[in-house]
Amino acid sequence: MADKGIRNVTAVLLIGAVFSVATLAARLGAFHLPGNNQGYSPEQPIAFSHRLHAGELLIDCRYCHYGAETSRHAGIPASSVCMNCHTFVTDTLGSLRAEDERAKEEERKPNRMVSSELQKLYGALALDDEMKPTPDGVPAPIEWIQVHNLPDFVYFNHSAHVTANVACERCHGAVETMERVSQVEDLSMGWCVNCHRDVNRVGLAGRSVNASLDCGACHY
Amino acid sequence: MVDNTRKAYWKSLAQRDDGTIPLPVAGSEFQEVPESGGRGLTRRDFLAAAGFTFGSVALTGCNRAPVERAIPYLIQPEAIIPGRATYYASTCGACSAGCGMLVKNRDGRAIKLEGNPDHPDSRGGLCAVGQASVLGPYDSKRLQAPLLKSASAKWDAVDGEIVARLEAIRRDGGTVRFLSGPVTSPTMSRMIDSFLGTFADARHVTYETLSMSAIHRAHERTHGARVLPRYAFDKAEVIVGFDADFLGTWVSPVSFAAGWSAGRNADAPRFSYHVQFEGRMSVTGAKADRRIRIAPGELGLAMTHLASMLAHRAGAPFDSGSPAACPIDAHLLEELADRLWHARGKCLVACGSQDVDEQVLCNFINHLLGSYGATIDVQHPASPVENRYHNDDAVQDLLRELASGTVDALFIHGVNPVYDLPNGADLAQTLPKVETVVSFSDRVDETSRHATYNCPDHHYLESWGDADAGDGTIAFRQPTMLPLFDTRSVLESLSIWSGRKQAAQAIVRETWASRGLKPAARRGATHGTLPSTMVLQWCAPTRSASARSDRSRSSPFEPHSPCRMASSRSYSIRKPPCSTGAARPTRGCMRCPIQYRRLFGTITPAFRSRRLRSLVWPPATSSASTPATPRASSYPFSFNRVSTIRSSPSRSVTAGRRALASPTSVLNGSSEDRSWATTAWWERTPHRY
Ligand code: SF4
Repeated sequence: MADKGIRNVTAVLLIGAVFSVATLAARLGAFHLPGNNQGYSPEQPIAFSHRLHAGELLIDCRYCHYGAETSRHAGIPASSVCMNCHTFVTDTLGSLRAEDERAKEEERKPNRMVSSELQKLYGALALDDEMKPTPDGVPAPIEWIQVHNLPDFVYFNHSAHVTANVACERCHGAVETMERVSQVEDLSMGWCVNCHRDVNRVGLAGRSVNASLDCGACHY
Repeated sequence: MVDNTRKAYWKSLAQRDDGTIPLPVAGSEFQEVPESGGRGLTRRDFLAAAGFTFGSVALTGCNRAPVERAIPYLIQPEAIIPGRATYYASTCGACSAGCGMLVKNRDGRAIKLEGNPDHPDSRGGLCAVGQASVLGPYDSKRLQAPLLKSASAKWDAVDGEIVARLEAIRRDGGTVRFLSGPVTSPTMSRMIDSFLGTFADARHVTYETLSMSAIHRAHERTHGARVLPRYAFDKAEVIVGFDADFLGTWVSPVSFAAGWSAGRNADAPRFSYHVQFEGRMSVTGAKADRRIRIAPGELGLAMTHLASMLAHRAGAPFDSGSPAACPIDAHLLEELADRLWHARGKCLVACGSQDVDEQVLCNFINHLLGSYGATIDVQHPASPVENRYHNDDAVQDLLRELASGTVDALFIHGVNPVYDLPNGADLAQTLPKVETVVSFSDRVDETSRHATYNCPDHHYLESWGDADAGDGTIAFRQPTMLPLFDTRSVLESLSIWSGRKQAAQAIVRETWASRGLKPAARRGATHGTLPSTMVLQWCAPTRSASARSDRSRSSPFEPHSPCRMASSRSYSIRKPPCSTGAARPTRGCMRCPIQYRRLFGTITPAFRSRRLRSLVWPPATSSASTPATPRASSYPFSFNRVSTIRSSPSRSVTAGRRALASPTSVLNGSSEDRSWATTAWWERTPHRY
């Protein structure tokens, strides 16, 4: 009687073990300790390329992330900032050129080219392809997905770091090579503290610094 | 000898160890009893194994933090940087004192209020009520749209009905009443007057929950003018408070606290002596040098005894009748009388009672001590705004009118009389019978529940306005955030119903333009002067060419309300060194030792001993120069008058006891008081100080 009970229990446990291994295995690649989002690279509502803007066109990070020097948040640019250029630049250089050639061949005026991604930007501002307000359009801000996200119990200030000459890529990695931004560092507390220790030892951009190691500097 | 037949317990460690008492076997105390009863797997073993097996499934949850969205602006407003606060100078509207304040705004929301150090009256203070009022706009009970007969409606619909109704009243010469709290805003006052001016029979009635009516009426008797005097606590060396919580709630607590603490400076040669008589613990009592606990009903009695002691010293005739025995230790009172008498000309006796007789007695004491002209100013009373003098009698008249059904339309702004008034329950009965009741209340409360139309006013943090701080300082109020709900400024409502629609900002400007003040033409010019008042701030129009170069100063609300912080130079973040290191210290911050010291002085040993010596009475060295006794002939009113009242059996000094017995005694006593007052003896007496 007892032997049968044990056999049943063992069977149940075995099945459970197989099941959990099966579940885990599928997820093993994405496994992280809680709070560690290293490698996170969500798909954004608009396929904005940092490689193109920061890498190829060499636009300074702070042109768009204008709060980095003055605020705790670096800031996501408002759509009006995008429109500074994209009022005129409506498609990739390649497709504009191609359309030009095609127009020349067909001996007509080149059509206005608007990329599908930029259409989303104009749509958010309730503008049509000709940059005219659409009659029944309702402007709605773009909901970007936040990539680098610190927990609420930690205080981080961009301006303190940027004005102390910490380069953007030290925390954000080589963003100028990324088509879609992903989180490079794990943004863990150990990682923060190690950097604070390092710069206190070797200095930052040739100057000695005093990066705080106090708990209260970030947690209060 | 241990009895082995019974269970024995050891009583000391020595006894435990000597072996005479059998101890339980240590190992068998917590014995593991296999629960399954048989061999093999126990219940615990199973749970342990299952925990490991199935628990690993939970690990698969350790994956990604939830998706967070970052939603930027569509059009970037100037001056707003996410994560950075903007500061606006404005004026507190949580009570009628009108203190200056700085509003911290982040991401379009007011999040913290602090005192404005540049405000000449409040001098950087903000009381607890003011501090808490930042929660007001976010109150979940707020009305989010106007109500028409308790159903949510559009402004157009409400306006249409009200305008039609008012037209009918104008045509028929009907009766309109406007009930409000004390109105300290000149613009509000002007708008109410011009609105009521369009009716044949209209009246504005004011009252306040913390009524100062008794002080007005006492001064009417003793000085012939309904005034709320100005009190200079900084000039007083001996301060006596009779239930006057002047550091917490009385009249203008912030400016009084500033004055009071200025007179109690550890570094200054003198330090005021403060005695507080009160029945409940107040901030003021807690801060007093001596707090004397006294039943509210015995306040008048104690004052009578003090008055007769002082009158005796002054050689002034004062017949106190034969009052009951002094409710407190007579020696204490004698000592206090001595101190007061020594410091005459530098004393201040404040009384918070609602009883006119007690206030008259307080005036008498202050007069004996020569406080009028020294620490109490009746020549330049607290406010030139007429409606500050709220009048309890007028409210009762209004209630009678309402009950008799002669009022056609009643407007209620900023008060909740059904809740506040002693006979509010009667009002709740009569309100539904009034044909048109318009409430500006921001919520459905006991009074506005009976309103025909609820036209919620903006919260003061969302409004344009101005306030008279009471000392001649006019301070302006600007919106520090966009209105959260579909509310409307009362100024705009009144302008629409008067048939001349205007925006609230334009209305405020018009008030001051008509008094000769032009909005500052130049950016940066923030102070202007009026003939008799000082203008603290004036919001200049921002849409100027230099707007771009002046990013940090312009308002985030340009399209809606072209305003800006009056002067970011003086109102920018002030950062005094703060040893607590935590929150940004401000002058109102009591947690910060620096601020605390500034207000209450440093306690050094030398200071403490000096202070302790000063608390001893009589002082070791007698005061070198005693001020002259005021001559009896210079008294502005007859003591016999006072004494007659005091000694008449029905109006004996136990007036306070009556007040305790019946909360409406102040109101009941009003007719008697007035008949007494009609003798108008003061009109024959010139009052000069
Ligand atoms: S005393 Fe001043 S700070 Fe306090 S509520 Fe009144 S106006 Fe506001």
